[in-house]
Amino acid sequence: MEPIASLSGIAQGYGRHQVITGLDWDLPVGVYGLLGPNGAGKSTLLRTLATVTPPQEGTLEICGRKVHSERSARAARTTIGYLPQEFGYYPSFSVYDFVRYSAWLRGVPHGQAHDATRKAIASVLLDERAQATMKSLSGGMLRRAGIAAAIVGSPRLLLLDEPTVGLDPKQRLEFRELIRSLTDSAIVLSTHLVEDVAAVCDQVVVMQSGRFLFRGTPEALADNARSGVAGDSPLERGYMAALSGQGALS
Amino acid sequence: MPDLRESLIDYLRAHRFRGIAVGWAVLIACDVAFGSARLDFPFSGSGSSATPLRHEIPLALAVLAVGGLGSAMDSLEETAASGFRRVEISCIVGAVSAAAALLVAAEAFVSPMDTVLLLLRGLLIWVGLALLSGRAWGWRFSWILPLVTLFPLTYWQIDGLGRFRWWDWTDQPGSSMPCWGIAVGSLLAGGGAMALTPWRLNRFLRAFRRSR
Amino acid sequence: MRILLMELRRSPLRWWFPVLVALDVAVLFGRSQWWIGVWPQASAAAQIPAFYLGPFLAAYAAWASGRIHRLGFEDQHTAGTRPRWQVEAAHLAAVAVYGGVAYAVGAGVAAAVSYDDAGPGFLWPGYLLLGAALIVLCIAIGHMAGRWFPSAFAAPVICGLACFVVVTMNGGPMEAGLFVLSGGPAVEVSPEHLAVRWGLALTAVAVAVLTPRTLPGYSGARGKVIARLPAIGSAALAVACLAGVLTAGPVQTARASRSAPMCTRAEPKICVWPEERKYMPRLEAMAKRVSELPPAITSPSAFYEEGLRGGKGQDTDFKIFEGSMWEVADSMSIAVSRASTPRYCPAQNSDAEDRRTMAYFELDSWLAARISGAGQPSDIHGGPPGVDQKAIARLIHQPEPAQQSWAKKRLKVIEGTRCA
Repeated sequence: MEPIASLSGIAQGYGRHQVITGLDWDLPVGVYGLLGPNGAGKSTLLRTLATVTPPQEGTLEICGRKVHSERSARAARTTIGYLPQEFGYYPSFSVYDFVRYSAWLRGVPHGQAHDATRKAIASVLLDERAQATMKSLSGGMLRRAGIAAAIVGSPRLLLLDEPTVGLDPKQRLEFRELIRSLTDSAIVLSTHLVEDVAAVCDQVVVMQSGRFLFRGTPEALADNARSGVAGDSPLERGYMAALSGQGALS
Repeated sequence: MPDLRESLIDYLRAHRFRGIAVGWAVLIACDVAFGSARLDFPFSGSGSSATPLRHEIPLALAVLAVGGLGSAMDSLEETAASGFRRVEISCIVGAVSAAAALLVAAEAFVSPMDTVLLLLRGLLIWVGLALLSGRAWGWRFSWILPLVTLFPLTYWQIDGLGRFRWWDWTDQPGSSMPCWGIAVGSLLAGGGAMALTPWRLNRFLRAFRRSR
Repeated sequence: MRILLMELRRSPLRWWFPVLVALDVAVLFGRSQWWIGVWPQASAAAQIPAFYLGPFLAAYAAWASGRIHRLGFEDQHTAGTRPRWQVEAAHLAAVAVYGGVAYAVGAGVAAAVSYDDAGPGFLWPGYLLLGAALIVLCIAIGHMAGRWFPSAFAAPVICGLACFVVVTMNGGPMEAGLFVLSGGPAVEVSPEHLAVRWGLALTAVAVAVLTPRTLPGYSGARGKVIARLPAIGSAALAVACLAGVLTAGPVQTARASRSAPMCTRAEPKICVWPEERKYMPRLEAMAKRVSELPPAITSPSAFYEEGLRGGKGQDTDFKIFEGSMWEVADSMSIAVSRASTPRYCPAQNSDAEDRRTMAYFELDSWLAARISGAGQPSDIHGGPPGVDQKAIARLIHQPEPAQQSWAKKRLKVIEGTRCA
């Protein structure tokens, strides 16, 4: 299957501090869970995939086109939806304004922006609060508005950094449904919640110190579990085993 | 055309255009009401010199215009496609032009043409510096370099012979070519800084590394 | 104290601290160096950086105090066990510590470079405290603005610029007296004036930390009015202090001489304040040059610096203005020409008056050049109208007889003018 995004020999860092080193990764359609401890380089990897931070080394391709310049990055961004870990908003914007602004940023044509915005808001079940101001939303609702802003215009590559933080259990189930319904995109979920990965991801990547420690299906990660490793579920134990170097890079 | 108009409206709403317009209105009112008031600075040499308040007003107009590039949603705007960039550049050019037009409109009746030129030159210099500052520390901090210029401009503005220094764009006549040179240099530096996006900087650094 | 230490450790001002010190030192030495070696002048010079540090720290305080609100820490602070004013005071104090230390470093440098040449005494605390009051006042205003308008952009910009413009327009020595430009030994900052300015600064601090932005962090079980009482009280005091600052008159007042003046060994004596002893070698040379003037010229037996004789001799005593010996020579020349010529009376007609005035101007200019040993320096502007200062500068290098004949001609014009 043709990859939607492709990384080859990607290195990234700030000054002399190397955050990710020599990563290769092809992402065809599917849902990818990105697991790893704090500081593993997950957010940096997502920012690189979102073309926000140009890679120091290596090549990045989005939808078959090499991203190597400002122009190519801006062209690629029409196909990328990105929810940063923390996003700002203009407090007086309504949810509709916020998502529509995101649609405009993404280059969704004005003729389609209204419908795309309505659809995205409905997907995160915020249609009843569409005209509410952003400052009046609760933490969970804000997160859902952020997800709507990321998925508006049906991007081919969807990058979600900690999307389920602040969502209640019911909302998390609904979020998983939403992710399952996006069958035409490559979706990368960076998360600390192993059960989200188990529920929706086709592939799991475990990162530490800017390197991939494990790449494979959630089942393969669960199979990695060894006795004596901490964790309440096979997947958690597999994750812990991968972190402690017991899992193989598949 | 409706697309562009709607894009501009979206952009201006997200970038607190109303606040900027109110700020400009207050500044222009101050310029008209108190523009002639003299600012006494301690300066190099012997005591104090006096510059009219109106000569410093373009600083605040420029900082407000460039500060409008910042937005609460900058983390989302980082991932914007090319349409956003076009609107962003149109808006900063429009904002600087609007600030210049306001300044000319307010000053045309109360000041001679030389003073109007002096103020426009100051506006362009501070816009360039604000762009440079915004690129270095973020658009919300676009005020840092323009405010820093107040120090040399108010402290070293007079040379040992009691003359305004050649670079003192707040006191040299509007026709002073060296100061217009500073204006062109500042605008080029600011424009260059704005054009120097992370991708362009990255390309430059990669080429530099390869050449070594 | 622990909150303050935490604030000091995490404050972004720790990165800006070298910039603050550099700014202080640049202001200190960038203006001029004539103040080095004279304690009151060094103290006034060390105080001038407050003029720039104040607005900068006001902008920073506005940005920093708004952060609590912008980062969503309001609730955490409200729910905390410590009274809200303590938290605010710690934030404000952290800015004041960084600003104060940078200011103190500047004062230390001023003291270090002055130490070798200086006369009796040390840095004058009055000037340093005046500058510190301005810094604290600006920080308090910035803190208040940032709390009420927590914008990361508008509040710092408006606050920094407003403080700069207001201090520039209204804070000068002849206005509100929030800063001074120089500090001759004949004047000092009086303790009363200083106390009023510190009163204003401290009440501004009280208003900044005691005024509730939202009541919950302040009121607790108390009523709304009671919760607001400290803020209302401190605001009233601040207004009273502001009125005091604006109506109390010039911040510098005349100072009585506390020890005997320092005079030249050569006759005629030139006496200055002991604080200005670093000028003695140059004054000795000037006294010698006065003694070498032609016999037709009569000199007073002594010259005094302003303030040494109390109210006496106010129009003939000299002043060492920013270290300029020309200004001293100029004042002495007037005293010499007065002693060498008849008492003034109105001339019979305007032509005679004009001729005599011109003769006075030329004679005074020549005397000033003779006493200082050179012509009028290029950085001194003005002087008597119609006098060719370059010609005077050439004249003092001509042979003595030529100069005597030139001076006698002027004296003849003055003496020959008949009174009306």
